Amino acid sequence: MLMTIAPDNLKNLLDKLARDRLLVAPSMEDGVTRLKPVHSAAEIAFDYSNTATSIKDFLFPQSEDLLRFVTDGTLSIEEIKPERAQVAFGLRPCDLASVALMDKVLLGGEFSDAHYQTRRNNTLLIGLACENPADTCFCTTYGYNPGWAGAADVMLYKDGDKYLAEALTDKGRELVGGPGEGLFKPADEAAGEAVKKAYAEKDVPFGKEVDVQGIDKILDGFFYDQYWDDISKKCIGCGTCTYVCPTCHCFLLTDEARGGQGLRFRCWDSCMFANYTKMASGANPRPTKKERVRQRFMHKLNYYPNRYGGSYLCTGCGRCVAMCPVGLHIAGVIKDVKGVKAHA
Amino acid sequence: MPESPLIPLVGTIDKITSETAASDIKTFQVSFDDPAVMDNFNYQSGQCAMLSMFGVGESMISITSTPTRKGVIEFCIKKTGRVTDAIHEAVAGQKLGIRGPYGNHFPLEMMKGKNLLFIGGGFALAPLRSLINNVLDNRKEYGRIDIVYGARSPGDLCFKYELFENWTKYENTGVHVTVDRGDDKWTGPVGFVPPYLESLNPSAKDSVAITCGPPIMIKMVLQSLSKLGFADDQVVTTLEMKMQCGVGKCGRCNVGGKYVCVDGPVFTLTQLKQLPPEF
Amino acid sequence: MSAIFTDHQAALRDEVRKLLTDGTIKGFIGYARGRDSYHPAPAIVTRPDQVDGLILDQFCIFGLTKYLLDYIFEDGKMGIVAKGCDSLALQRLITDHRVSRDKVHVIGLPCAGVINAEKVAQLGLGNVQKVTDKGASFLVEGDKGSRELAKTEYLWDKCLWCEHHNPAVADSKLGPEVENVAMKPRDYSDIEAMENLPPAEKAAYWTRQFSRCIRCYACRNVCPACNCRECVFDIADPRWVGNTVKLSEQQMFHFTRAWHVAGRCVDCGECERVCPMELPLMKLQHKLQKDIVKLFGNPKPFEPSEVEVLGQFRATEDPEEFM
Repeated sequence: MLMTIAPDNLKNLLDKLARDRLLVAPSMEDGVTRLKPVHSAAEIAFDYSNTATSIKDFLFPQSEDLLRFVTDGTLSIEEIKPERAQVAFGLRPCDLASVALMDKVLLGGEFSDAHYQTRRNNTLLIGLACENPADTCFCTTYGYNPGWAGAADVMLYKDGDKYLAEALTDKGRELVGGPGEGLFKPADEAAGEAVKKAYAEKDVPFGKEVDVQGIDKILDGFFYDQYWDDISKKCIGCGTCTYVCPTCHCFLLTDEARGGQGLRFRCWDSCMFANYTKMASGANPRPTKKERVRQRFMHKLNYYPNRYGGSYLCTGCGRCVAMCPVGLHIAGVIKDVKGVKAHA
Repeated sequence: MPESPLIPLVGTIDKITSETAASDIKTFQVSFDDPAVMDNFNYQSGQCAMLSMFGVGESMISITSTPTRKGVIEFCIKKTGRVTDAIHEAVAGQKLGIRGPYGNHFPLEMMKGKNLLFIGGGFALAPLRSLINNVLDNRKEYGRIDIVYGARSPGDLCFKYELFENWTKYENTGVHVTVDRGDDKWTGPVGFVPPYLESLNPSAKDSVAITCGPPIMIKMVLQSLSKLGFADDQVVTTLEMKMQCGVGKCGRCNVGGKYVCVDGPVFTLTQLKQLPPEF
Repeated sequence: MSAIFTDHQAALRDEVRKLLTDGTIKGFIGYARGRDSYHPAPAIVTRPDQVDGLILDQFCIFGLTKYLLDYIFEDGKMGIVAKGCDSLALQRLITDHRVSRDKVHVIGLPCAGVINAEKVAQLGLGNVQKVTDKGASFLVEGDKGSRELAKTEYLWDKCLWCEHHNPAVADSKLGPEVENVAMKPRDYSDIEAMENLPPAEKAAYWTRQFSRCIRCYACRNVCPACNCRECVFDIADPRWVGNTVKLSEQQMFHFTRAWHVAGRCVDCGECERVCPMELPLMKLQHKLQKDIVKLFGNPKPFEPSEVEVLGQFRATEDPEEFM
């Protein structure tokens, strides 16, 4: 059922939610708009094309406590669970799409990642369709679009002086019927569907330039191509692309201990770092930038779709396009591999 | 039980055996403190487990004991880094964290009724030892068994009791040990494993070769096996990659599209040749 | 003041093609078109057929010299294009004995200033077709509009106080030297203003900045003074800085890095420019520069020299008694 909510009512709702859970929203600080915890709607930026950091920061945080241990003479281990309820507001379609891709890795297979699952359960996702896709956005390349609701519990679409709203999950309906009671009004279904359609069909210029069709198959035979040699030379081996990416999920486990007790953390790691695959023996199967750069793009465009059935591990959010210090980004690689040169 | 597969369970190091003269390789017999967990810890030869030294970190180690001898869990560990250094410093009775078992296992079904040729080097005899004891415990189900093993020096040989006293007692079973450099007491063969293997000239007919060792040895052994007439699907080996999660999530141990922690560590040479050479 | 970079693009390509063909160099580190006309990207070419991808335009800001470290263990020479600021970075690497001068062929690029693409890209000029130097301004013509942009407003800050318009190290030069005067004097007034803030405000400011750090290490990886063979932050044992992302670790990283390059920083500003979270990292360096000027009487701590302020100890002159 489609509804509408006035901007003031939306702010009231967010203020109300911030009282009993962690509210995460786009917020501008020192010139950077990123998703961050905010105390009230007053801190939220409503005018932004995309946030510098993604929803990944809150479903799969950069560092996360896994367990507490005591080792004085004996050993006891206590699992730490991310109990706190969160609501994330203002998520763009690319981030909403990324959640489904992360779910496949972290919840799929023989082992399910309990910490991620708990955060997924505890987090309400409120999406906000894109009015003005940035010139680095290319979500349409993957079949997503500026109105794509993906994993959203509630999806919002700015419609003139109000927001069109749709509750898509039980969690979303609980929000509308609970804390949101009286703040939403029923919308005209036909007019609402027209708004949704307009967002879904909104032009994403860069998306038209990047055609990913069939690249997984092309890459099956591309591993040994000279291209990886050429392209990787300019990589500076920083972790920017992997850390701002909503779908990069590589991590490491690390301990910190003092005086017989400590914590074990899970932290993001980056396949771009030279030590990433270096073994205790000193052997490193990906010793140079060539292997590392190739790994990242093969993972996103070949290994992942082959392993998890279809989707690429990228949603066209454009963060790496905008933030890679040397312009070595996935949109360029797709164009290159398909024969349209974007890199030297 | 913890909800997360990344949370280890508490175990105890029950017994430590130094394997080598330099004591840089030791076998650790461990048990879970919870008897129910111990009882339910079902693994297969070739699988690994993640051992935790809290405050230092975790390391993925292959299980060297055989599932045919229930109640005994052993890991043979070489001192190579922070975690293994810490394990080596441990004394019997000390606690550690264990999670697993992880990964695939040696394809026992494919080996039934076949002649088995084991080729190991250094402490990489560890995963093979699990399988060797496994098949020896069901000796009648297999054909001839040959174990070819080499180390740098006589002092570097692991599992000496089994090599020289136990395995040799089984019928139709040969143990062939070589060292790179001998010493005053060594009367056996001297030389690297690959040429030694070729000199033994084992038959490829109805055989499966299983090899584990340092990368350079594996590379040469595979060439020797090919010369001896072994087809790629008659050769089984294991891969070693850096691992963190062990459960196919953390994305570091992949070789092409395969994750060594869940799809490996055991691969046939046929499978290996389909992977990019990033191992 | 001078011709613009684009005027030298053809000459650069010719020279690189010649150097690659005659075997003088085995590769060349330059620029190629990036995601749009405002963001040229570094490019390393090794074959003559790649040379036509090289570009030069007034947005070529990226300091390329750090790439030379990728080739120090290989035989042969690498070629590189270097503006004045880049040549200081190169001197840094040479002075630190990390790059040997005879393994680099430097094509110098006299420079009257680089346009801050982040400012111009906002103006809606579309795809940039042409940039003309008008003395105090650049005329930028795009397919959606043109604007004359005052240099004092649209150049990178470091270009305004730059006194190194001509490369200090070069084997050949593209075009004539340009007048070597700063557009405005280097001043540390913003640092003074910050020094005068109440401690709580300073602490709040820096806490906010360092909390935003994602520990991608782009600042370190692009910095010509961060040229250690193995960085202390990459060493697993002992681990000086934890992997966890929290304020104390971020502070440890940034303070250690800032002090490690103190007196060695060439003021290229690349750390701050590449930071995806826009940390004002050069403020740290400017504070240290200001202190070095004042405490050690070295007026130009950003010019590499064999005798670094913090790399020497003269017992008789040290004002600290306990030393």
